[in-house]
Amino acid sequence: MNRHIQQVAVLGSGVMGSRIACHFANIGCQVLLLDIVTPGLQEQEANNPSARNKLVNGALQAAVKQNPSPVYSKKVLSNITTGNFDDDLGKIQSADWIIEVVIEQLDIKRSLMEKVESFRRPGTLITSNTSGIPIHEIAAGRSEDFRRHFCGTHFFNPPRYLRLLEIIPTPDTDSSVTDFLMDYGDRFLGKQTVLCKDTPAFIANRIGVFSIMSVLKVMEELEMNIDEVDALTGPVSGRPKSATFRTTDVVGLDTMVKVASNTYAACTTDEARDIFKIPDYVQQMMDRKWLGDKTGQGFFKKEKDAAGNRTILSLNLQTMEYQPQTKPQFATIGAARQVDDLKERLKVLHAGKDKAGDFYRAITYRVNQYVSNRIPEIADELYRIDDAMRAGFGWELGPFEAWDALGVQATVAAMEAAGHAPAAWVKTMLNNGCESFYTIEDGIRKYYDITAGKYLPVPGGEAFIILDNYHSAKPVFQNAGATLHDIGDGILNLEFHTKMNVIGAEILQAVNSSIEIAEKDFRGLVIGNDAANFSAGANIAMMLMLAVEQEFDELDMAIRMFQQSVARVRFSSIPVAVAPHGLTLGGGCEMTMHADVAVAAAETYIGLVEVGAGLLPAGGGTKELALRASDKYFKGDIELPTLQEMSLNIAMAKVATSAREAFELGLLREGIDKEVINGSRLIATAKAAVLQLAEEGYTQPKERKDIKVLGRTALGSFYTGIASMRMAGYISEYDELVAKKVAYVISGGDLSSPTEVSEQYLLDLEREGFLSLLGERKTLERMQHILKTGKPLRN
Amino acid sequence: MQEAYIVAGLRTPVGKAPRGSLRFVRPDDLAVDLLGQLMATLPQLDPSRVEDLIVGNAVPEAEQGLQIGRMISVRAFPVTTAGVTVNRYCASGVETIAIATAKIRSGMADCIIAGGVESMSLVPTVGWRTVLNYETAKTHPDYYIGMGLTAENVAKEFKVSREDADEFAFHSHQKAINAIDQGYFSSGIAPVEVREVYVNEQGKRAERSYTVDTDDGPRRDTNREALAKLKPVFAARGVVTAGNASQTSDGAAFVVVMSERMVKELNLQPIARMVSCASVGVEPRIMGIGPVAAIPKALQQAGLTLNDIDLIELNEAFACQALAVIREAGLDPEKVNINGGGVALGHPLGCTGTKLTVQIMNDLKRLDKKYGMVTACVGGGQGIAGVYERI
Repeated sequence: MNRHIQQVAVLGSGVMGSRIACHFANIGCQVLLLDIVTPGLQEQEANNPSARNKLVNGALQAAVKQNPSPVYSKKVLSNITTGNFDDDLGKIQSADWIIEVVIEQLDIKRSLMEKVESFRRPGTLITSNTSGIPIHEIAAGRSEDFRRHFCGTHFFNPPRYLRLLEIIPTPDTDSSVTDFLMDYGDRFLGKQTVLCKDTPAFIANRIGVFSIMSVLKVMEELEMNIDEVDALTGPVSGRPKSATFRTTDVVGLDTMVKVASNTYAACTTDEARDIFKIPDYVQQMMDRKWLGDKTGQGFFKKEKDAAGNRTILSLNLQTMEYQPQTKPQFATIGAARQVDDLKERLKVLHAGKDKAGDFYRAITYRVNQYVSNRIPEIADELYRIDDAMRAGFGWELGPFEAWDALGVQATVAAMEAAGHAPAAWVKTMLNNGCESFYTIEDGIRKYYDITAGKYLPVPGGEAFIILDNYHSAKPVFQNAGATLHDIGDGILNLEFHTKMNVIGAEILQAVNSSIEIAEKDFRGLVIGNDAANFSAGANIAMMLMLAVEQEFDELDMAIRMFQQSVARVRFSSIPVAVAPHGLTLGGGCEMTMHADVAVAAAETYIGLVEVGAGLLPAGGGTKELALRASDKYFKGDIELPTLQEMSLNIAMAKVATSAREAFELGLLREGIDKEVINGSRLIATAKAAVLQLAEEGYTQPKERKDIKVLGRTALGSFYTGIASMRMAGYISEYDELVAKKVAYVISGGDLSSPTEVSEQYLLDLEREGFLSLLGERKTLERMQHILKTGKPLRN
Repeated sequence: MQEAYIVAGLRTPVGKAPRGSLRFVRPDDLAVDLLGQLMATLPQLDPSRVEDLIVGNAVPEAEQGLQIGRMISVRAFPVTTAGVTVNRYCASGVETIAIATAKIRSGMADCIIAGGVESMSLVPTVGWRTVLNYETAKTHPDYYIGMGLTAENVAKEFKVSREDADEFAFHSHQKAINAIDQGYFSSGIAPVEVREVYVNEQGKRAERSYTVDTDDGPRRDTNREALAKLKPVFAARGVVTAGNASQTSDGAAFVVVMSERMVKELNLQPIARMVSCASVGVEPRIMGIGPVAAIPKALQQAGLTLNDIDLIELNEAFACQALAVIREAGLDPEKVNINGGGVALGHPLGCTGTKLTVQIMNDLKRLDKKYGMVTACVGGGQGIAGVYERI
């Protein structure tokens, strides 16, 4: 029987409860958020509903104020209603899913569940969100129907952004419930769902905290400081930028200590139990309330120096005093930096002859040993551990994937020599002739199944297209900037792979070649990648160089080439989908705007940010917004406000904080472009969208020549508005100059009356405006500043 | 030349825009209703003898469009009573009285009703469609800038601090609350019966009626701390906040202006007469300073000095602007806005000048004073000042 989730009741409005409520609201569910009645009410307020709900409403408002926001758009808040346990618990009768997220205390959770049972419709999903309490104990004493539909969930904070959702069934949980949650969490909530056993700390926290505790241990053994450790445990080794200690400061030392202590207490037979013992200095930090950002200081402390500059101090764990940060130098890191590919880089790091190499080996051998011993205790299949670590702790590669990269056989030998022999099944695997934990056969990713003793497909993989899996196959086309893969069914995928996927000559050439190839032999093209960001925009370094040398003819050529390549995305005989996700800025946004269909990940941060570099969108972005404004005009419309809204996208360099917001801003088109909640399904969905267009019969669109531009009837208002902003001190004189150029282009110039113009007319204006800005010293300063610091300059 | 007298005057309570008690009341309906009540105070005056209706309005479009002066006169009076719309922005309500007075004095008419009406709830301050001249925008965007920004310019050029502006705003509310509590406004206000058709909590169409007889604007809870906390709205590090600027408002006000001959014929008691009225242009960039140019001119025309003036209604477009005018024109703060002003009571643009006239006539009578002045700054860079003498 199909299960549909329309109404969700979230019980508990703490940090997690409020944010979980927001995320369900994001995807369009109607959410009832309940918490206790505001404590300590005066007699005259005791019957006032708004006073009684002050606690829950305050919690929700606090959540919504967070940056980054828990909601895709403020509009989704209308999907949430609030209430309290005393007055409104009866309303959970109509819920399709009840999620309990109250305080982590077993007796409180149990007594709430008892109340829930009296209102809950039979068959309704009921789950508890916890990171520490054994799931089966929460449902103890409940009816059979309750227990069959009861399951544990473990969202990671913040639930909108952290990809992991652990699903923890009890022995009583109906398998259809588990299956439903695994799929729903993935497809509807956009999470990497990982099936866990009801063991202490489940998977991600068990392994993640083991890894952190190992780092603490090895740091002591090798007499290293926290700056050194963070330098080694950051992006260079495929870990998040916040590395080990900065992450702990953000999450809160108390949270980490709680997981470690709970695990120590509960895992009495864990062979590495002692690693979870809290070191003295951590206990001292706890006593001093140095818990990280929430108490103002932790492993790091922000201070202002005598000159008023903000500096960051690091904690010296020997003296327990804060001292200026050091910039550690390791030969191994220097060598590894030259290597782009993480898998290759890991080899360099682990082969290091210095302290860094010692550190990596010591950590990796311990972690490898530990994770191999956790099967089947915490998971039967090894991929679940990798999935959990990637999605929950931001590891680029899970422990088994990293182990594969280093070579399983060689690493096992080194581990044994170091006294960290892996679990026996690893040896068995090697003896079975399986030399790695994963393998790829015909684009299908398979893992080594310990029970079966052979490779099996990673389940659900057919729903995803992971470009990495195509890398071993011979690409259809490749150059230094991009690679074209055949992803089946007559569809090609063009993957960018420059730094930050910046669009330069190679990518433009690849776009043209891919479309040519597709027109000849294929049915459609997807432009998409699974890097962190779709594209940070056009390569301004090259333009800056030409501008400094005053090579304006060359610049004109380059911009023409850019415009033509972007236009090609729309004007080709096959359908083209562009699949933005993460940062999709400037030229990346313009490419998206020219797709036949844009298929955007929910987490897409898209915008035309050119004015920050003292430029205007000249790859068709300004033209496209003029066109979209024109298409919105209707008979009798006063038009200007619509054009103004569109212009502000450019003039204020707006970046949508979600795909939903991009629809609201007009950067994505309602009814044409699509949103995919789970970014991992992005390319597969984009492929399906292209296939659909091909199936429906795709005819190349023609160039539009009916774009109504408003000329000077709009420009008078625009120029006045811009001048007012400068007079009011909101923008600089140079901002005014740039903004007026944008206004000029989007108005179609100073035409005497509103006129219908062609796309090419507007592209020519874009190019003229762009070139004239490149002749301005302050634009060049802005470009230089962005290249140097990554941040816009307000000159 | 024969003298022209004001023989009656009334105003509506001023509603807050866009969410106040008159938020959906059409300006033409509001004016027709008020004129009915005004005429009822003069049973001796046969409506057919009202020759013209001069209506001040600052944004004559949408609900205020189609020459609203005529659309009001045709409903409020016999068909022969003409109607005209006059726009001098915030000075419109003084200007209409000046026109009526001048016409009667010159013998062109014996009875004209003058006033103003504005619904800022229904019609945006700059109208629905604004098309600015491209050439002017390039060379002189300061001719077009928003009023808030002109107030910031005034604050900067005439050195009015945020603290002073907030203090002024605080007192505006205090004085207005006092005036309401003392009933100083009641004789000038014609209550408005509002009938509302709305969707009720059950999602059904429903009707309700209520009477509005008090200004929405003044706040008893306004205090210095709350005012100090507000953020500037028109400029970075600016002075003007939502708390020290005039409120957007809805309202109507009218006076009956009549020739000496007709006053005698109907045996009416005149209330006051407009002695003089002057409008002077100033730089649009600092339009708020306009009264400083207009006041001396109006006084000179009247043959009076500032010392002769007993009460002044200085429209508070912005607290900082009003303070700059008080300081630059050398006004006695004790005489200015004794019952508060636009910051507390609201500023329904085209209506304001007449509304202030109604108020000052009642105050002159209550305090047994002789001369009053109504003055205002005007968008686009002008000032107006009208001098009244109580009869």
